[in-house]
Amino acid sequence: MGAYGIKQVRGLRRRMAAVLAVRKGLMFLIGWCFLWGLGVLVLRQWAGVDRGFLLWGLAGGVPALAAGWVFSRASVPAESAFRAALDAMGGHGGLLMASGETDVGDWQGRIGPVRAPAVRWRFARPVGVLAVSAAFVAACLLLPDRYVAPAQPPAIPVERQVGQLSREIDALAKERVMEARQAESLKEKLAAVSKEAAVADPVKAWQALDHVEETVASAAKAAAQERTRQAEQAGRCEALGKALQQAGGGMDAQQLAEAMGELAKLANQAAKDNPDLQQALSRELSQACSSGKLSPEQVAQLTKAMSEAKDSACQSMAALAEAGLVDAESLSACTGAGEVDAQKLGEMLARGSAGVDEGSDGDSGEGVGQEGAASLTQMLDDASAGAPGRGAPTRGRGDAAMTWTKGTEPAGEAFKEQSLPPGAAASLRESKRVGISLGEHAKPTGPAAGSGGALGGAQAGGGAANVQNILPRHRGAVERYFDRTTP
Amino acid sequence: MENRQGQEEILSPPQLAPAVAIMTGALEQLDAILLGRTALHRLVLAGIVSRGHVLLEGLPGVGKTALIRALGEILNLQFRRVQFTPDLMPSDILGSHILQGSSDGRREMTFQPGPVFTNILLADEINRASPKTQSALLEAMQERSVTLMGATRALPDPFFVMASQNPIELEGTYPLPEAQLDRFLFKLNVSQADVDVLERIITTRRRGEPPPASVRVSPEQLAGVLAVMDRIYLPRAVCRYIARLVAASHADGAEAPDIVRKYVSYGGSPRAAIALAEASRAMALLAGRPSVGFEDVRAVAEPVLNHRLILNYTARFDRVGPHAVVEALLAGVDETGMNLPPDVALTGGAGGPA
Repeated sequence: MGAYGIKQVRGLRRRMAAVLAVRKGLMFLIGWCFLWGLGVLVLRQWAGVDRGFLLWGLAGGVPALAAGWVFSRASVPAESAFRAALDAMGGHGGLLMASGETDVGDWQGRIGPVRAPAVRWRFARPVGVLAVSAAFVAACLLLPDRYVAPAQPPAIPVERQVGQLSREIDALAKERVMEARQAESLKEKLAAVSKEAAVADPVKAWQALDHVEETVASAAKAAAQERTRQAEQAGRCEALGKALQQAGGGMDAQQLAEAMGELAKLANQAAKDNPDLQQALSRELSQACSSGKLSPEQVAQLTKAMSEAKDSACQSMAALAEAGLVDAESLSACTGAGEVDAQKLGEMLARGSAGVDEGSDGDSGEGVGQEGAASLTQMLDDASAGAPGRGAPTRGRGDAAMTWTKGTEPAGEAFKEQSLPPGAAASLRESKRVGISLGEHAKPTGPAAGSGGALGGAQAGGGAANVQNILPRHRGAVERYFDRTTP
Repeated sequence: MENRQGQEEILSPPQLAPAVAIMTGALEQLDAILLGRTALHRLVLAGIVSRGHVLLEGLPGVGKTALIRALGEILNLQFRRVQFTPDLMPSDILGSHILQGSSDGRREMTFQPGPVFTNILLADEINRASPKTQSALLEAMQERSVTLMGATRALPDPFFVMASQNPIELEGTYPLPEAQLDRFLFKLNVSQADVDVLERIITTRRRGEPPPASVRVSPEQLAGVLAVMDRIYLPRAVCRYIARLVAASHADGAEAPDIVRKYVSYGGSPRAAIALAEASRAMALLAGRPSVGFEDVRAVAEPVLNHRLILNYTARFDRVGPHAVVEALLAGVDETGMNLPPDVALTGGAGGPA
């Protein structure tokens, strides 16, 4: 086969393939540049990636050009097409094409020289677009950091809550309301919340804070109740001790023994509820309390210990209040808990009479017993500053016992007769008594009511909300109104 | 690779030269007889060499009949003329059986050949005959045979139909149906002669009579030319170009130009592609080349396609004719089939036949 002009054909095809590869590569490069620029913006904005690292995107140009070369191969025409183009452009009358398919023999000399044409590519536009894309990449890379600073997740203002809770936990730990290990655990949890609140789920952070706050508040509440109870117990013991010291000489032996026993019992209970007080009491004093036999010296020691225990409870309560764990009302309740008028109690004990109030109120004490511990307890209650039933909101607690005066006598009370009006009497003559009611006649409701007639269920006023019921005393007037025979 | 019959080898210059000389002589003789019609003569001769039928369209007196008569004279072929009229019957063209008495006294049906039994049939004003008579030529033109009363008779070889029709005075005429038009290789428009040609005719021709032909082609020479014609090489790229050109003449063609999509109802048939290939071969032979080039296809594209494109009413309203459509086809279809991107092109190029 005489492949005349094969060299020119293949050369032209190579040049065309190169041009098409460059052209396609340029297109891919343009696309890559725009993608790269967008990637730079995104990575700088959202991930805070360093610009130096993003320069590695330049290496993406090589695969882009390679992809262009690969994809351009399919668009390169076949050799026969180039031969046809050379034939047509050179005016060879089909001989050049025929020479690629068959032996043209003597005609080969008449074909003449074959000069390949130039491959022309109007590259101004794609190069311009490439320049624009490169400028875009450069702009994305050179953009100042302040314009593409990584977006911080919205921070949650938990520092104040965390600090407050931390102080509260410290206060609880200091006042030995909470164990050190539990306090440390809670503080670690707070630290974790403070750290995660900036990046994690804000709802989760708030829930964790609420949980810690609830735990702290619960502990504080329990501590406040405990301190108040301790202060009350210590205060009552202290008052009783002082009263015994004051009235000890005027009391008979039995009353004094009973009072001593009651004091010992109260002291035992207070010591049992207050470990600090238990430690503060000496062994002999504890044994005396347990046996219920206290000497005057021991009473004095016990009174002093109780006073100190109450002060300690109040100080602890004050510390909790200062930390914001206890409100002022609770602190006031603790401070006033167990306050008993020792002098008054002493006088009560000296008189041997429990609950006889000599004051102006004079409405209590009648039902109080006269013997034993119950009597002493009643005296303590009566002598306390917040004793119930003083007749006014500011004079004693509200949980006063009910006192009954003389009741109403039902016997001898006659029913007051009353004459009915004439209309009512007339209606009563025509009526049949089925019963006596004190109130208005109850209109029957339901299916049984007014079930007959075409107007059954009809209401006056065309179904108005105001249903007019005819009372028995109006019945006569209504009948007269509808009596047609009357002129 | 597909078998390409007759395409294994290309004609050598000595094999081609006699045929080229004969055709060149015939062409020169035609040019001498009928003045100023070189391009038309070339196409008519190409049609003859392609064994195709030619439809000549032109006003009366432009030399249609004279051209065909001169062609028959030069080619030294039997020539008959039939004036088509509305009352012309198929038997008037094809022939008929008549009852004749034989020498032995018996009577039998004897076939009396019509004027179609000739080498060149001039169907003058073919559009004046009825469709029935026009259709009588269908078998003769395509199969080159006539079937009457069950007997098929071959027409003389070669057989050409040279028809003429008048584009004006259309009243009482019957436009040729598409099936008949498709059987004509070319439809050639015979235009008016220009001033110089008219002056030469008046000064050189007494009463307009053309000179007698001095060169006559013998039947053997014509057969030789036709044999050479069959061996003109058609490169694959040219085949592909012809196929794409015809495919693009359809509105739904992939490479159809906008004008085709807008104005063409039906494009070229496979017969059009065959006609293009054969006519291109003839043009290459007339140009003295053993192979067909793209320029040969472009030269015969319009006469081959113009009567095969069926335009829609929009084209009629917009006064768009087949000529404009074929021109758009030739401009729109890339002959090399390279399908280069729009911003890439081959420029310059040089070289040529020595």
